[in-house]
Amino acid sequence: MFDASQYATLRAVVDRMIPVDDAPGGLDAEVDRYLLTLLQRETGLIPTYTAALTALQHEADIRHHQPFAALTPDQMDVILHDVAAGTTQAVWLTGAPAFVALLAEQCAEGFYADPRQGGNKDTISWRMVGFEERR
Amino acid sequence: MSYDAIVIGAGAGGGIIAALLAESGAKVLFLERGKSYTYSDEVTDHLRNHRLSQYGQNTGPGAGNPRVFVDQQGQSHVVQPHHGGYHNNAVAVGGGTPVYGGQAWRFLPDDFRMAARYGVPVGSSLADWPISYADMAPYYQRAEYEIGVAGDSALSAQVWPRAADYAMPPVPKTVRGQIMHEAATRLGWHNFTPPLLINSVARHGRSACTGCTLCVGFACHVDAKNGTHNTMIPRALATGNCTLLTEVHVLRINMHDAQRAAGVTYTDATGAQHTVQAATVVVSAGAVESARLLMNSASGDHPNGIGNHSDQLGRNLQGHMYPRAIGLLPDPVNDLQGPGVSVCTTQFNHGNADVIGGGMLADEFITLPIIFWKRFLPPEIPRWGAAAKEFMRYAYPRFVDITGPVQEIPSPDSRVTLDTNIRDRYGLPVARLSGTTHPESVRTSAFMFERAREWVEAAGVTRLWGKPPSLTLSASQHQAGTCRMGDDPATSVTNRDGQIHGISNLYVADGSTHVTNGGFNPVLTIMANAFRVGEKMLQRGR
Repeated sequence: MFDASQYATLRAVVDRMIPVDDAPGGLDAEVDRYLLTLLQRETGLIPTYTAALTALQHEADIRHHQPFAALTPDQMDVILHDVAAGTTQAVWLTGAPAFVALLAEQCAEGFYADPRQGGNKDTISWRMVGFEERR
Repeated sequence: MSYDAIVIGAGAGGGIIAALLAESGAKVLFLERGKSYTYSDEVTDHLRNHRLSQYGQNTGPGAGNPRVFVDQQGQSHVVQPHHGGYHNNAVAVGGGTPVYGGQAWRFLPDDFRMAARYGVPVGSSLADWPISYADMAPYYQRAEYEIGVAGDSALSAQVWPRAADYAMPPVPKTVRGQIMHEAATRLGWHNFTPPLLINSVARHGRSACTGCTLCVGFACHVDAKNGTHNTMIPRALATGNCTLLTEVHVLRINMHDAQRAAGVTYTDATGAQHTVQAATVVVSAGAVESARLLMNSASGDHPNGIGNHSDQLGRNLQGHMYPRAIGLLPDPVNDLQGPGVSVCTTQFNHGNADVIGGGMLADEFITLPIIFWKRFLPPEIPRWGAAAKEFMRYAYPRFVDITGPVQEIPSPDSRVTLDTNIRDRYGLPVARLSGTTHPESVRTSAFMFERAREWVEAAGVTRLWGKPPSLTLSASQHQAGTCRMGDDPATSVTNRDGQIHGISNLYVADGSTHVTNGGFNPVLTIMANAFRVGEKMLQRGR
């Protein structure tokens, strides 16, 4: 559903949504894999994602003449905060602030929901917050 | 085919009626549109269950069963079962009971006489029940024993007049529950472990709750959650007198003449239609679908639907608003013990200055991390980035959460009607939900929010947040009120025995007949009332 550069952008934003600190981050938990799994079921979301990832690439190109995934974490965060605030420079076919809210929510699903849904690999987030699924 | 009785809907109410009738020797046809749902069917999806239905649910209804939700701006939205506006309750054998939390509340004596106690606010349809707590008490006890409630008998007896102890001792207090118990006690609030329809000890051949981390919203892995699916419905089937058909959908109730129902027409899973006769018909499909079925059964004698002689059918739709206060304790307290809810107070159900009624407050069921993220984060905490992650890591082990159902002040404009533009998979008009609860419900909710805040604050939290509910339509799993019972046919749909006014052999037995819905989870009242209605049917010779 995504081309190589859209997928690289997706992975980069997953890393910014849930960054690594003392504990592993969104990419360690394979939140990107969760999103792909989700979009295969919720196909109505695919156009929103493809349009927004393309627009993020344009934001990076306009501001830094580089692919989004090649930016520094700080540069990515500035763009994401701007997009969340609606101060965009590229053309957004889909609602820019709404996309960041959607992305944050769906990355949280991939990180904190059960691993059966494709993310939260090795229950990384549950070990971080102190939850275990116990029967 | 002809039966003594047809029961439509195998939920909390219908499961009890079917058992009482079948055990009396009646030949019962029991029709349920859902499937059997047990732990072996459970896929345990944290995003698709009855606590969080983000993209779907673990039970029915399936595709082809939309509703229309009308928002406060008057915009109509076609909604699917997992959307909030659908106001779904689980569709399965047992209805909501295989997946519920199982809080097992008796309503209080004043809950049956709200209008007499408080007066009727302008614009509200607040009214007294035609029956009293004393009328219901023996049936509450039957439900507590025959389905199985674990509770604190001594402390509950200070709140409700009760003739006997609960069937089982209460579930253990969690670490959080103990802290909140101490906080409530410091405030001088009577508090106790809430009664639950869960085996705290092994009983009737099924094991005790293991305290696992997946409770409300999911099927129980040791079948320790007591619903109609594992008590009354098996009893009905064991008689040999009850035929349970699942994945069938009742299209309409057929009338013999203006005063008598003849039976029903239903479709089976293949789409084939069947018309069956019965001496008695019982509707127990939940407050939304019972009203819709009666409306979709309109005929020459009943042009606006059966039981809609006074334009009351479908009105007074109600559920509960839930104010919620959340706080963080200095040290970790989340011991991951299910069911999780282990302390409550009924201190504020009545007698509050300047508001009508009130509600029970309790701590929360065990809360999955993704549910904490979606529902419990403070508004000012970012949803992404390092701060969002750090807050989850700090807060999830430390949070305490107090919430509870506020008694709604009913509005006649909160209602179920038919939407003839949108049809279900069988071509029938779907339910259209519109209006809101009465504004007095919001005032009471604001009062209860302050009490929740007070309780959380008393626990010694370092941070406290939450906000009172705003004016909305509420129904969902606690849906009630659409076939109000009453002595006056001009202001009600059924009489005090659940029989539709003017139709001698057609009954309603679910939350639909609740005049008001208490400041409590309503399932034990639905069950007790079904025992009462079933007994009245037997006394009348069905």
